[in-house]
Amino acid sequence: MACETQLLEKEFGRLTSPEYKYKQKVQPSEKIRHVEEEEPAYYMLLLTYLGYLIMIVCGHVQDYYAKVFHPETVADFMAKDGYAPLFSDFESFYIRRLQKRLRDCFGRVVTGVPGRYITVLDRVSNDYNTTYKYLGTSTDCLNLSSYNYLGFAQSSGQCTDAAEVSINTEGISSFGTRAVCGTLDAHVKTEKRVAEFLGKEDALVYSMGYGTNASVFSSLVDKHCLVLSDALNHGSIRYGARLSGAVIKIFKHNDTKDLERVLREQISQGQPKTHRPWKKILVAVEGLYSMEGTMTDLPTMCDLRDKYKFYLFVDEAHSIGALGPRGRGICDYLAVDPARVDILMGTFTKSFGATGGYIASSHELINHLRVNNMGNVYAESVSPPVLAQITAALQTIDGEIRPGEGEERLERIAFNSRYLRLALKRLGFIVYGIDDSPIIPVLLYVPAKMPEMGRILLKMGIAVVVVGYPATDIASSRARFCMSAALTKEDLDRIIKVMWQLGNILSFKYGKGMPDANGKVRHWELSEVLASGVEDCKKDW
Amino acid sequence: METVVTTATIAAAAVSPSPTPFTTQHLAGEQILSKLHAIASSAAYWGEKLPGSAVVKRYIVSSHQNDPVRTIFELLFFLFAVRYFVASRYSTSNPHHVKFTEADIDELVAEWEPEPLVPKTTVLEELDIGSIPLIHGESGPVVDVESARVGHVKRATNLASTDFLGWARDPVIKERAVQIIREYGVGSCGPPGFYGNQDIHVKCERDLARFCNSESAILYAQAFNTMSSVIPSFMKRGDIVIADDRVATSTQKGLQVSRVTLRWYKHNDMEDLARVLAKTNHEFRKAPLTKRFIVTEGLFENTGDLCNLPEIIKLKYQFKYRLLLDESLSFGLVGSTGRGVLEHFQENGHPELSRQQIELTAGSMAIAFSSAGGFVAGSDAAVEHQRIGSNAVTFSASMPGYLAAASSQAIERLEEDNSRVVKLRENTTHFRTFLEKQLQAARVLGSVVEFVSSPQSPHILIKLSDDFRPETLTSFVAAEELLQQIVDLCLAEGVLITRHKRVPTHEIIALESMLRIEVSASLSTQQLDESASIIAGVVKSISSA
Ligand SMILES: Cc1ncc(COP(=O)(O)O)c(C=O)c1O
Repeated sequence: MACETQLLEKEFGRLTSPEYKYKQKVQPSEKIRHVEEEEPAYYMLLLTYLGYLIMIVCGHVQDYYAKVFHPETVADFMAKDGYAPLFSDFESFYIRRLQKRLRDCFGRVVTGVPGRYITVLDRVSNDYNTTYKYLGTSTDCLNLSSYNYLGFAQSSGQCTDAAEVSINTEGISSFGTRAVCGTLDAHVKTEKRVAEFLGKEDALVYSMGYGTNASVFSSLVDKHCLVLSDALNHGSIRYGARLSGAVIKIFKHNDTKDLERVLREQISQGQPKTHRPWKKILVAVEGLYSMEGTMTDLPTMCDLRDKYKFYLFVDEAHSIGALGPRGRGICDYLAVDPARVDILMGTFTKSFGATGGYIASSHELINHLRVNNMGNVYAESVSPPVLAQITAALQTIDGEIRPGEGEERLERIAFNSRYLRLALKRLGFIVYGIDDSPIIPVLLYVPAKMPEMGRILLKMGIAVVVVGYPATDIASSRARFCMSAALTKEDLDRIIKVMWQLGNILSFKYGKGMPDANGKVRHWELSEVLASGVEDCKKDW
Repeated sequence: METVVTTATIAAAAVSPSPTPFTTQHLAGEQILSKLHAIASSAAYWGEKLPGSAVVKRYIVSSHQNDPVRTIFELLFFLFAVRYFVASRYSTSNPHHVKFTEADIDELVAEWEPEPLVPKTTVLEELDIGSIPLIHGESGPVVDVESARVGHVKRATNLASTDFLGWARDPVIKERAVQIIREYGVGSCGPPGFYGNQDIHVKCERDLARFCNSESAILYAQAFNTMSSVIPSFMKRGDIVIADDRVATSTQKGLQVSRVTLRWYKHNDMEDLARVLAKTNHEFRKAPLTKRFIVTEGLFENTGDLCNLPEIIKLKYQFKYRLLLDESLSFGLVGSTGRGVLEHFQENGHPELSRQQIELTAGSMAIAFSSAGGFVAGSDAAVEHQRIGSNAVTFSASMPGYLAAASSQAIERLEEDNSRVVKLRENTTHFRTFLEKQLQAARVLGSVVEFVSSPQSPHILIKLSDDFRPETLTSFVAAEELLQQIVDLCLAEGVLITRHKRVPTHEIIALESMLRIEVSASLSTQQLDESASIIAGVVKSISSA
C-alpha cells in the first residue's frame, strides 16, 4: 500500500497546503497587451552571434577535413554517381555540425507516466552523439518538460479507468475514417461535450493536433483568399495555410497595430495583380504561444474583426484547460464571448493527458468540415480510449465527477505558474510571457548555454526542454519550463534553488530583477525569494 | 510568401522581421552614449589587435595619399552598396501597388464584403453528410449501425472497415493496451524531441524496421500525415518528382506543398514511366543536379492494383532516380507474410529485390497493425533526418504509447504466424470469385458494374461500367448518388459497404465513382457468401429500376 501511494505521488503530488492555490482572475486586455520583454545588454547579442560564428567556422573546417580524409563519413551529403545528395547543404550542415553538438539534450528516451516525475533512461555517447549506449539504468526527474498542465497524465484515477473501460467496450480503433465507417457513439458524445465546454454550437475531434491544422485551412480558404498569420505561429498552422493555396501574409508577433496596417493595405489593394477584392480574409493566431508564453490580445482582435470583417481562427493548443478561471481557455481568461471567434481550434495533447485536436465552431461550418475536411474523410479516427480520457478530464474540470478536484487542479497550476515565474524574475532571469502563463521560458541567448543547462539539470534530476534556433529566433535560445498541477510547491522550491545556483555558474541572470520592498529594482537573494514568494505571487506585480 | 515546411524555411522565418529583443527605446540617451563609447573604444582596441588590420589601414592611407578622388569614389560606392541592401529590404517595389489616402482606405474597408466563411453546401456534400454511418459500441466483423438514410440495423456484416487482418476485438491486443495505459497513462504529452519519446515508441520503431527489413523506421502520429510530411522533408523546390497519376490524397498533398517540379506518368504504365523519365532527364540535362524521386504506391488505394515494382526499380537505376514507395495499404495485405509488394515480387520471380533498393517506404499502422499512426522506413541517415526535418514529427506530440505497443504486438504476432494473412487471402479469393459469379448470374457484370481492383486485392473497388448509361447518370454527383443507393440497399439487408468517398476540391487527380468493399480475415465463408449474394441482388435491382 505504501508503495502504491509512493507511485501515485510520483505521478501527481498531493497538495501540501491550501495556501498553494490561486484562483485565476479574468484579465482586461491591457494586462496582456503590453508585455515588455526585458532585454539583455548589447554585448550578449554579439556574444551570441560570435558563438554561432565559431561553430560555423569549426563546422566548415571539420567538413573540409572529413571530405579529404574520411569521405565515407560524408557520403550522404555529397553528390555521387549522378545522384544529388539526399539532404541539402544547409540542412545537413546545420544538423551535423551544430545540432549534433547538443543532440543528447533532445529525444531522450523516457518510460512510464510523464507526470510529476518523468523517468529518463540513462545513456552515454562515446562518439560525439552519433550513437548512444543505454546503460540499463534510469533517472527520475522532476518533470517540467511534458505538456501536462492539469496533471491528467496518470496511470490511475477516473481518466485512466474510463480509458480502460473504453478499450474493453469500444476497442482501440474504429478501423475507418470518420466519413466512411469509423464514427462511433464515443466520437459523437465527445464532440458534444467539447462543444459545450467551449461554448460553441458544434465540434469535431481529430486524431492528431498537427493534422487538424494541417488540413482545416484547405476546407475554408483558397487561392483567392488571404491568410494573415502571426509571425510566431506554430508549424502546423503555417503548413496548413500553405497547403490551402491561399495568399499568406505575416504580421509581427502579437502586434495588433501591425495587423491593422496589413489589413488596411491588403483590403485596399485586393488580390495581387488583378486587384479584385479578396474573397475572404482569415486571421490565424494562437491563444498562448508555446515558445513565448505570450497571449493574443483577443479583445482587440475581436474589435478589429468587427471593423475589418475578417474571420478569426484561434489555436488554443496550450491555453485550453490551462488558462481561465474555469479552464476554458483564452475566451474564459479574457472574458470574450466565444461567439466572437469564428473557429476555435485546440489539442488534447497538452491539458488532458490525451492526444489529438478539435475544431469548434458553428453547426454550419462543422457540417461542412464533416464531409470536406481531409481529416474526416481520409485520416484515421480518434482511438476510443483517447475519447474516454478526454471526456473524463472534461467532466473532472467541470466538477461533474470527483467534485472539487477539477477546481483544485486549475488553482494549483495557476499558483504554480505564478510562483515559479515570480521567483525566477526576482532572481534576475529574463522570463518571457504573461504572468499567468504555464509556459515559462527563461532566456539563455548564448547557444553554448543550452547543452550545458540541459545536461546539468538532467544530472540534478530535473527535466527541462532547451530550445534554440530553428524553433526560436537565432539570438534567443532558451530553457522552457512547462508547469503542471502535478507539481508541489516544494518541488518548485527545489527548482528555484537549482536555478539560483545555475544562474551563478552559467551566468545568465541577464534581467534587472524585480523591485524590493523599497522599490529598488535588483536581483533578490535566494532566501528572500523563498520567504515571500507564496504571498507575493498572488498579488499583481 | 514562403511559409514553413523545412528547417531551411524556418531559417527564413527566423530572419524575417520579428520583435527584435534588442531595441533601444527605453535606454536613456546618456546610457546610449556611454555604451557607444565603450563599443567604439573596444572596437578600436580590437581593430588594432586583429590580425591583418594593419594591412587594411596601410592600404586605406596609401590609396588616399595617391589618389584622393579614388577615396571619394570608394566612399560613394560603399554608400551605394549600403543603400542598395537597405532599400531592397524595405521598398514596396510592387509595380501594381496603388496609392490610397487613409480616407480612401476607410471607404474601401467599409465597402468590402467578404464571402461567407462556409461555402454553400454542394449536392455531393449533402449526400455525404446524410450517408455517414454511425456505429454503436464497437467496430468488428458484425456491427450495430445506424444511418440517416436507412435507419437502425442491429446486425450488419462489416465489409467497409479497413480491418483486413481481423484485429478488431482481439482480446490479447486489448489486454496489452490496458497494461500499457496502466503503466504509461494515455497520452505521451510531448513531441518525440522533447521527452515524448518513450521506450515503447523506440521498440515499435525497431519492430517496424525489422518487419520491413530496413535499417531504421520512424513513427508518425497519424497515417494520413505521413506521406504529406515526408515528401516535403526530402523534396524541395527545384527537385524533380515523377509520380503515378493515381496516388492517394496524402501523397498528392505532399507533392503540392513541396513545390517540386512534378511530372505524372499514366497509372502503372511502365512504358509511359520510361518515356517521362527520359523526357524529364533530357529537359533538365543542363540544370544543376537536384534530387530526383519516383513516387508511387504499393497497393493503390484508388485502383486496388499493385505497382510494377521490379520494372520501377529497374528504371529508377537506369535513370538515376530514388524511390519513395507508399505501402500503407500493401503491408499486411500483400505478400505471404504481409510484408508488402516487395515480398510479393520477391516470391514471384524477383528474389533479387530488396528493401535497400527502395530509399523510403511509408506505411500505416492503422491498417495492418491494428492501431493508428504511420511510419517511414529507410536508412539510418534518412530516418534521422526526419526527426528534425519532417514537420509532422517535430511539430506534433508522439502517438499514445498504448497504440505503439499494440502495433508492436501485432507485428510480433504476424512474424510468428502468418495465418491471418493466409486467411485474408483465402477470403479474398473466395469472396471475389463468388461475387463475380453472383454478378454474372444476375447479368450485371460488365453491363452495369465492373471490377477496378485486381482479383487478389482485398480492397475491392467496383465502378459503374461504361456501357451502363441510364439517362439520369449525367455527372459525377449523379453516379455517386446511384452508388449510395446501392450502399443503402445493401445496408438495409444487413451488409455494410461504402462508396470510395473522395472530396473533389482536394483531389488533383481524375475522380472516379466507385463502390468499396473491404474483405476481412475475420469473416466466415458463410458471411462472405451471403454478403456477395445480397450485393449482386441489389445491383440487379438498381439496374432494372
Ligand atoms: C499551437 C500548437 N498547435 C498545434 C500543435 C500540434 O498538436 P499535437 O501535438 O497534438 O499534434 C501544437 C503542439 O505542439 C501547438 O503548440
